[in-house]
Amino acid sequence: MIDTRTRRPLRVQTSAGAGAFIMLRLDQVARVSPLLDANEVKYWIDDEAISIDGRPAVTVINLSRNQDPEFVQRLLDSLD
Amino acid sequence: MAAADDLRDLSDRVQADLDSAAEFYLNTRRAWRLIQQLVAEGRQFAIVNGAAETLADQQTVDGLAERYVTMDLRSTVLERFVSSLEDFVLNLFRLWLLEFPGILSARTLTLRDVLDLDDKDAIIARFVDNEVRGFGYKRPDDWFQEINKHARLGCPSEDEVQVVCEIKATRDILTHNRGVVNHVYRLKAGDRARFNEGEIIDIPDDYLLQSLTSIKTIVQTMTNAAMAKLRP
Repeated sequence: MIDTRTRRPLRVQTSAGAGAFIMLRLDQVARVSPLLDANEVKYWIDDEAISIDGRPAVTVINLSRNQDPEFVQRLLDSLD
Repeated sequence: MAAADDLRDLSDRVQADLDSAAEFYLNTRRAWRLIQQLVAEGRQFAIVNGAAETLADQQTVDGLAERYVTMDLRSTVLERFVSSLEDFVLNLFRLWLLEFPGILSARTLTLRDVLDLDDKDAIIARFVDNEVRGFGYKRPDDWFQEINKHARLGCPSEDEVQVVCEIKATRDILTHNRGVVNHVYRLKAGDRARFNEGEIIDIPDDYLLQSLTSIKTIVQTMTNAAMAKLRP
């Protein structure tokens, strides 16, 4: 799946000591969320999104710390 | 009358503390998310000292952001929620004992304990201090049971007590076991346990904010019930 902010593949980002996360445009959440649900991925979405300089708002999908980020990345890669 | 005023002040203060903690969470999260987004867009910045040496740049700060938001910030705020509830419950218990000291009529002190005290009020305060000190180490379900044994407030509900027990268990496992769930968490959380042994505990936004709502509701309902008894 392409990140419409960067025109590059949408990435699961990892950070030491934290769960993995996906930063993406708010209007892309509607495509990603059902995919995660269908594959029983544990996650939650920030209830706010931030728009900078009037550009489309961006939010964060937080993955559970018990979730394998590589599995989620494969799911994202499977989306056109 | 004074006890009712003290209770109102206590309740207002605790509710304000809870709101302040929630506001701190939301605004701090917004600030970190903004930084993450700016870095993702390729913005650059440097934090320098007086000698113009770079102490941190966008990569350094961005590398810390997610842990700060998802773990450190949320666990700190959850701890503040639990501390505020403890503050309320312990001080409600103290206030009730001071108003109705006959509850402690079977307790004893030695002469040494009271020799330096000026009057009856000071002696009662010493008894109450001793009682509250032990109370603070009890589990949340024991707090509410003990208060209701004396005050008969009729709240919180059993369901609300279980919710608080799980919140407190989450706070304890974050503080004492790095968030790794063990049998102690499972025991304390009971039927409300959210994770199995060995799993790492999460604090999703909705959980955090629901915890806030639950605690605020308990503070409010217990305040109302106690006020009705103090100002019939």
